[in-house]
Amino acid sequence: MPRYLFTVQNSKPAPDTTGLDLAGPEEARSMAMTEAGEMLRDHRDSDWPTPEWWVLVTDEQGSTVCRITVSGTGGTV
Amino acid sequence: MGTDALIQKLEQFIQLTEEDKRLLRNAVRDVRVFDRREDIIHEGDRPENVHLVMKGWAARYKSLPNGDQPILAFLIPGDLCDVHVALLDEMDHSLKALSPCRIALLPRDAIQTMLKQSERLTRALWWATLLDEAILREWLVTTGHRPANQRLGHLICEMLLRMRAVGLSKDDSFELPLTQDELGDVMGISSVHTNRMIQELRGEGLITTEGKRMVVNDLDRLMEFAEFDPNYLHQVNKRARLARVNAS
Repeated sequence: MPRYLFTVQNSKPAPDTTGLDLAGPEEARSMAMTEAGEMLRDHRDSDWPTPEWWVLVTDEQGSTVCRITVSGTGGTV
Repeated sequence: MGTDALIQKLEQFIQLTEEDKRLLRNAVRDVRVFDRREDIIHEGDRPENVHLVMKGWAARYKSLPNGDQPILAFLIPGDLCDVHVALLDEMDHSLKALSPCRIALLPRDAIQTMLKQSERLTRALWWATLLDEAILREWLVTTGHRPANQRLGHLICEMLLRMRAVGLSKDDSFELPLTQDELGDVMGISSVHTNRMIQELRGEGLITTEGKRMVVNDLDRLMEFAEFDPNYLHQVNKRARLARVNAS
């Protein structure tokens, strides 16, 4: 099975050094969506708004599979 | 001896007599070996035996129509799978081996005979049942209310103390024969997130991994990080013994 690397850029940047063996790019994209959701849930009590976050998925050759970007803007209250 | 880990576990709660230990040993009628990922008993099966883990790790799980198999409990040596299962007509969940396992089978009639002969064993096995429930309660709380890094830290603390209680830890380390998928499944997070949380705890210097071995670098610090209170493990006798040792 091909291996995919999930690099996260947020308040605690975390390059993925091990990766994960998955069936293909579809599963990697699905995992990226889940990861973005879990990342947000874990940081729901952090200072907000924060700089833009993203999850970048690449294959072992370094080609991008997907990038999910999360950003938010505070209102007036 | 197949029941040694169980005896060690029960003696956290109550001192068993030689007769109690003999009764327990005699209740084991068969021992079976299971490969990793092999089912021990399926949901819907009639439970003819109580299963006792002698070696390896097993899990309780449910099968969902979408193919997911969420893990509801880890079972390690000394753990009995549903001592009162004889009251049920069919299993409402399944058991599977997470690593190569040796499982002792205790027929329901042998359990009944044993319980009639020893009030101490009856109390001890009720304690084991209450302990299973306490662990499940803690998992529910943890999954719903702690961030993933604390969930992982909490689980590592729990498994270290449970493995230690049956003599299977060494210098605050233990064999963790699980994939990141299985570990993440228990915590309700993906394997990608589990991988990141392991790297985070490593980065904080709280744990080290050596192949399948989980090393806790500083248990007090990990317990503080994970907000882990071991009270739900009810290792009362052990605590009392430790207190006596410390006082002397």
